[in-house]
Amino acid sequence: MDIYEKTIEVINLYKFYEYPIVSKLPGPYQLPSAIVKYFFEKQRRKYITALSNINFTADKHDCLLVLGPNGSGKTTLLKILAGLMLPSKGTVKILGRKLEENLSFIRSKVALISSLTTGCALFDPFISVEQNLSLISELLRIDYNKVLEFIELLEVDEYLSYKFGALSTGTAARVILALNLAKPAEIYLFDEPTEALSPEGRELFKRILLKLKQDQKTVIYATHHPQELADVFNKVLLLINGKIVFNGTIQDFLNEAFKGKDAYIEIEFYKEIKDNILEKIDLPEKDYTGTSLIIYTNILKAHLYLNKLFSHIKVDYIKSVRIIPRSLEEAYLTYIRRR
Amino acid sequence: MFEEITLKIKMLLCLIKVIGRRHFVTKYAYFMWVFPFEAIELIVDLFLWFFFMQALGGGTAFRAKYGIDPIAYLITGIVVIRFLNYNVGNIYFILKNLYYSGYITAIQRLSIADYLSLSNISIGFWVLGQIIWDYTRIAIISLLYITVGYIALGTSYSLTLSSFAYALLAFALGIAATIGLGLISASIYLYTGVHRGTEPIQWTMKLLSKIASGLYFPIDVLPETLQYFSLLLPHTYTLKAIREALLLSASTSILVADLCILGIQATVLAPLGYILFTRALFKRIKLGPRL
Repeated sequence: MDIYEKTIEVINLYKFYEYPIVSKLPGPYQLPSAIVKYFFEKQRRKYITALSNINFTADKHDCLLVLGPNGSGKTTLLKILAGLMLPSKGTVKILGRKLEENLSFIRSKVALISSLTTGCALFDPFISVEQNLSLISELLRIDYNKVLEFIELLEVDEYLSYKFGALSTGTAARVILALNLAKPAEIYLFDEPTEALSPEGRELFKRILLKLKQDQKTVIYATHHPQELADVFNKVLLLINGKIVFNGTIQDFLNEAFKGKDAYIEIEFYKEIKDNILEKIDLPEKDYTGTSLIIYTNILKAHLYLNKLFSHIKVDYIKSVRIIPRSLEEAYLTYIRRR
Repeated sequence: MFEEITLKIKMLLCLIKVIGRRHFVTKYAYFMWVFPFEAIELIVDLFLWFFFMQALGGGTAFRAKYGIDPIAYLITGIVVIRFLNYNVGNIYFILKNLYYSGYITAIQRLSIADYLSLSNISIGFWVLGQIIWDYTRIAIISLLYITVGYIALGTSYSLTLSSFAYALLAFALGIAATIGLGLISASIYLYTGVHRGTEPIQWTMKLLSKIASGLYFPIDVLPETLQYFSLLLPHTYTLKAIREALLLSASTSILVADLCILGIQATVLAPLGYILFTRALFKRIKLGPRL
């Protein structure tokens, strides 16, 4: 049995992609021109930095949320962790073993689960879902009964006899998820898996994710919509332009993004309140427009500001008061806008 | 060591079974709905050559000059070239399908190659499995071709143990040399990452094999310049040796020169192809995809 401190350990990881080599030649994308370019313009080749100085660790039972705008390097990072690509520089250790030297071991312990648009290469649209699943599970050596279990769990068993090409987008996404989830693994890497799922599909998926968490699996989850599964994760990694700009717990992320003001009080008035009245009250950051007032605050201090407010404004003037915790998605957007 | 080899053979056999099953299911029961039509087309082609030969005087002059039945000459050529050209061209196409499946409507997705890698199935094994499965199909069609030639057109072969052994040796060497060429051609795809357009190696080989390998006619009818090209092709030596063994029952002393050249070509091309191919595969996962 291997002894290791961290399930995933990434140290000074860099990934460079070779710049597309045929873009400026006549007849781009044609092999003869690509060959000429490849052999005769070797020195002029350019590289794009997809990931730069990435450092992070993940423990067993960690649920790490990877956030970042389009093209920030999320998929590249997941592909490297899955052993589909090698780092250009740096060290990646999975379950205590170096990636380059233990590719087949690592691939056997990691499951990479993609969304519909990125995960359907193996499916044939002209044969049934059942035939597809049976063929692919035999090819990839995945237990077919396990696939059927997930098919049932994701509530798509009634579509087994349908042609794969005839499925709706969401149903096809669930079928692909079922197949990919059936691979037994220690580390699950998700790349925007809920992209095509309906809200109830996402709810079913969330249950699976919670089960993985309960089973102490390491989960790394890249998405643009963090809010839907916010309560599953304990850590966040924010990537911008291939660099980590935040690495820490969800609470630290919210605190840093909102500078401690992790909630807002939304007050609706029956009629406009004079500015000088509001100025008298010592309120933190606020937005006042017409008959609505928003106060940004720490959720634990919300009652203090409400007390102050009620001492200056009659209760009859107030139509409604709501205290809303600010979301992970808002924190992400705040972070991105700040940069 | 022995256990490891047994395990790899088992894995390969399993892969061939899956590829075959996939082929059956996805191509709507291939042998039911595709193969009979392919077979009829091939038999028509064979008769086309026969009638063509009849129109030119029944091949008497050819028989007198070379001592071989022209239809048997053609059948051997077509059957052998089918295997050799498959090697030169199809490894590239197998790989293209594996990797190109990663690109659709301008977005990047996981390719079949990625899925195989994630399940620890080596790309080399997948290619080999595909080749073996396709060889089985080509072998069945070739057998049909030879049988029709034998029954309907009266072609005959000298099937002594030694002639068969020499033909088999030439065939094996020809296969090794052309697989080497096929691997070089496939590695060009992996190096450049470009999947469209003419691939120069297979284009050149296929073109030359049609005109300069002695497939349809002996190479001595060609102009001298073209005959030089013939000397470079593994196809030429494979066809010559197999025909001499099976149709003329040639002795070892006649066959040895062709077999030696073929042996040299196979020894150079097969390892070269393998090295380039494995390096290109490694480069592919090191550099990542390139659109």
